[in-house]
Amino acid sequence: MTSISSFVPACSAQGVVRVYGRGDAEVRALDGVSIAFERGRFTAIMGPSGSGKSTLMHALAGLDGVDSGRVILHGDGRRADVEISTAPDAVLTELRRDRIGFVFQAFNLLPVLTARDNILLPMRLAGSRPAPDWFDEVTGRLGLTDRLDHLPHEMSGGQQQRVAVARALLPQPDVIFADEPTGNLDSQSGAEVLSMLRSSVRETGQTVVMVTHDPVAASYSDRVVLLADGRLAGEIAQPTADSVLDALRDLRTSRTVVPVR
Amino acid sequence: MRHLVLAQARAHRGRYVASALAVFVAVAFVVTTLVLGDTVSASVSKSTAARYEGVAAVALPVDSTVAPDEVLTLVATTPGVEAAALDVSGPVRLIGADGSSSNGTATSIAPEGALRWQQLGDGRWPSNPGEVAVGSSSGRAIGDEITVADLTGSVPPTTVEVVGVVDLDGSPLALSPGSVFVDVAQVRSWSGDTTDWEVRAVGDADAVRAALAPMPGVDVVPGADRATAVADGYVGDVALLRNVLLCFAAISVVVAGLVIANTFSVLLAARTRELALMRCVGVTSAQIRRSVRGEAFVVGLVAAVLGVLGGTGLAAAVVAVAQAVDAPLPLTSISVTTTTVLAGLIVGTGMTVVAANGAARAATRVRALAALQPLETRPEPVRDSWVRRICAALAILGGTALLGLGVVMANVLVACPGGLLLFVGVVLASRRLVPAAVGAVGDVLARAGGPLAALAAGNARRNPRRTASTATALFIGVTLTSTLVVGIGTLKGGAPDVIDENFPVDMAVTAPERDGLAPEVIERLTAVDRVHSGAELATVDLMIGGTEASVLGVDPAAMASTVRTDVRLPEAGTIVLERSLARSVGVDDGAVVTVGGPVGARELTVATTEIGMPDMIEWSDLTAVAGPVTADTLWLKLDRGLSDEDLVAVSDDLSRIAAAEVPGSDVVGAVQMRQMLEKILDTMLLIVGGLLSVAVVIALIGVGNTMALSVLERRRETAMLRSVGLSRAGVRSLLVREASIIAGVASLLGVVLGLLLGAAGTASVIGTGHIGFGAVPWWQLAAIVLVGGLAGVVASLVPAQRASRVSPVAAMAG
Repeated sequence: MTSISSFVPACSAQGVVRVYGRGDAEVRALDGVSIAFERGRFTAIMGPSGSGKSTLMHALAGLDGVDSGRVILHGDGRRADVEISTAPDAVLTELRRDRIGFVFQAFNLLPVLTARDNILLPMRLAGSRPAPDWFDEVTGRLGLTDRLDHLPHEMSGGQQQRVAVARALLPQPDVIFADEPTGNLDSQSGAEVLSMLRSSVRETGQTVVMVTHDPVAASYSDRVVLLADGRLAGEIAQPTADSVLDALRDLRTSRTVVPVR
Repeated sequence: MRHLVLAQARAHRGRYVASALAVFVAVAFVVTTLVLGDTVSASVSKSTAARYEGVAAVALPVDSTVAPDEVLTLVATTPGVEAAALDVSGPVRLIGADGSSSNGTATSIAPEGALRWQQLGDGRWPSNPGEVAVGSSSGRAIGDEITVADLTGSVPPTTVEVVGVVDLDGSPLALSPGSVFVDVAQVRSWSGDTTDWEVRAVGDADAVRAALAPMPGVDVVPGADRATAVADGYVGDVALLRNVLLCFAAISVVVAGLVIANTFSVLLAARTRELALMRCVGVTSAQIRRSVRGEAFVVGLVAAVLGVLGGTGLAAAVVAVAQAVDAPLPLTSISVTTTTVLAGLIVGTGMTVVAANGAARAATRVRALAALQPLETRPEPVRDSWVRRICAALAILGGTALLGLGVVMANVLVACPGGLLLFVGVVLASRRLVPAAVGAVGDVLARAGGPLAALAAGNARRNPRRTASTATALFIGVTLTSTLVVGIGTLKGGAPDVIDENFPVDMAVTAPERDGLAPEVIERLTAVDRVHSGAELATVDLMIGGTEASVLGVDPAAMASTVRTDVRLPEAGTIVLERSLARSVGVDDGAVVTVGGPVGARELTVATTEIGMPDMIEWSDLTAVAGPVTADTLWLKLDRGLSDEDLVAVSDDLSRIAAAEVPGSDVVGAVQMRQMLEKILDTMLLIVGGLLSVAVVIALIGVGNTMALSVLERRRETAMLRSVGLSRAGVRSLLVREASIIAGVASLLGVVLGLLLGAAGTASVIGTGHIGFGAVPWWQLAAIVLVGGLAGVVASLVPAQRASRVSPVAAMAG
């Protein structure tokens, strides 16, 4: 069980505001969000379309700026804290090589590189090499050992997504951000990918933050954070598919009762 | 459907900028060429028409038996003729202050009044024998002195002063900077038998015809007909030049076509989903095809209109500059014909539609289902039709065989089509050759250059068809340029040997008059530093077995120590005849022939020599038949092993003495020949290189275009790379590397083929024996590859910059 005293954040947002458009077309995608994501945990961000869940993730990962507030990537003693929201592009680029990992919904791999080269790409860009047994362990656990010399188009969607997971895991980043990682997969491949993400959290202490709208996918996480209209709208610890569904339904009901300006 | 086409063309106009630019440049090239050609023709016709304006009839000689003055008198006194003028013109030699001589034309100034077609631009008309007027393109000014001599040297050269400048704007006479204008008598005294003449008459043409009817050898034509005939004589040359230029324009058009084909196939590939969606909502494949063609038509038409305007503007600028600097070109008011405008529009629009046709057909193969599926990331397969493969193989094999045959036979007329065929074959096979070469180069770079190099190499290989046509566009220009560079380089390297071989003597000084070289002049010339020995020769016309021929009288002993190559020399009692002359006389080696001259005849034994060698007779035999003769030519042998600077110095010394002592004399030698040849070859390299550079520029636009389209297509991929830690600079460098691989490989292939074609071309002209690898301009070839690669880099800078601005967020959108 999580107690306040043992909560070590991997990354956090403090009063983050993000506004798109001007005048009548103004949309407050994030309207003062403060939240921390615990190290070594699997957190899911959920919410209806337009709730700001993707914007929050982009801000946390430094892919997009914020209009006010702070986003911090926390160090662990070896590495320093970095204020993502004000870091220049060059710093963010360095961070993405070894401290932040990504898994996307689709188009995760470079079509001209083999699975092995795709997995090694971020580390090669950083000019480093993984320990050989760590590479073997990651690819072995993801069931990719005999697929490493294949090009992406020679693999199934599930296999491609596992290659993307391996690429994210290999540099042992502070956080892995996953954006609808099962959105393009059939349910069995999706379940495989989610199990592997969860086992990497359980077994190696990896931190994973996932945006999804699928309650089943969210049920693989340790904690679900709910967003609505750019604000935090609640959270569920140790979620199940049913508890997530219920929470989402409540969210919709409350929106009809309390109109938001 | 039409508004959809227009909406598409408008929506994507940014993406068509490069294609439109390619069409624009190619069309502008075509239009400029046509407009300048038409302008020259029109200027010539106009100025010629002015000369025959109001002229009713022109009397022309049919043979040389007619006396022009009699014709003039007869015409002028014919009732019904209001005015008549005799115009004469003939070739002269103009000798400059430094002793150099050039060819010119002396033209008579027509009598004052309606028939005087020359217009004075400056100064006054010459009024006494020591004065001349010159053409406005001559580069000479009032007050300059010119020495004029006849071609044969039968009259002493005269020095005259320039007192007037004749305005030659638009006249074909402007083409020759050596035009001088004097009175009829002076023209005749310089040009003698070679004088051309005609009599122009104003008044009753029938009366002229009737008056001249009894006179044989005179033809009478209407003035207008004569004007057309004169203009046509010049316009034929203009048309030839224009057609040569159009060949280069055609190369640019083909290259632009490749760029366009590429643009459309890339853009349509990027729009697969959109096309599938159109199929989903019920658009037929025929409608899709029409829509793509319509889009191409709009793009082509807009670019062609701009190209016509741009080309006309450029031609106008050329005319303005030519007039401002009094260039020796007949260019007056610019002439833009409907044909030119239509040709520009049809070439531009037609080329675009034809080039987009392949893409249009591919677009119709998009299935409606594609709208519902994720985009393929599968590498595009290379599909080649059997016809194409067979044609390529046949062209390459046939071309190589013909080229080889041409080299072995030393026949350029065989080698030339062979080289062309080989070139076409390689272009046809480029879809297989280029990806293979890119793959090989990419592998090397990938091994040496880390992850970015590997990625760039992979990207360059991923659309073989696109890479191939981008590279081919550049390859065409580079191949032609390097063929030219190698051909001219090796020709320059091999030419000295060939000239030496065909030139039996180091230097020759020839007097303008046949009894020209005084003994003391010969003494001074042979005494020049670094001159080894000399031999005197006299040129005499003799009757050889009933055939008149010009023969050199020589002293065999002096000749033997002077000529360098193995020349067969006559001894007393023999005459050396070139084989072709011997054949026309009807004698063979060893036969006896009667040689007759002004004072006698002798029986001499014939010794034949190779074609191209001089006909020679021994001095004592010559004096026996022709009486005492003086040398008119001096052959000189120079010291061995002189450097090129020494050779030039000797030749300058000799020229100076000859010009001072014997005005109008000719000093020629292998050095001059070589320098003249080098100058001609260098000029050719410059002009043809300049014309080809248009094609290269279009191809580079194509490289930038392909990269720009790839950037659009790989937006999400680029975003993904950014999100795994590739810096902005890294994204830029990735694109630049890919472009430089494509451009570098294209340049490398082009240079390799150009090396082969150029060397083979030279070998077929001067034989394999004279070509050394030292003569190949290696550094120039290396520079072409380097510049090609660098230009690829430059062309990709803008797209690379755009790619580096792609936000990593773009990878996230589902």
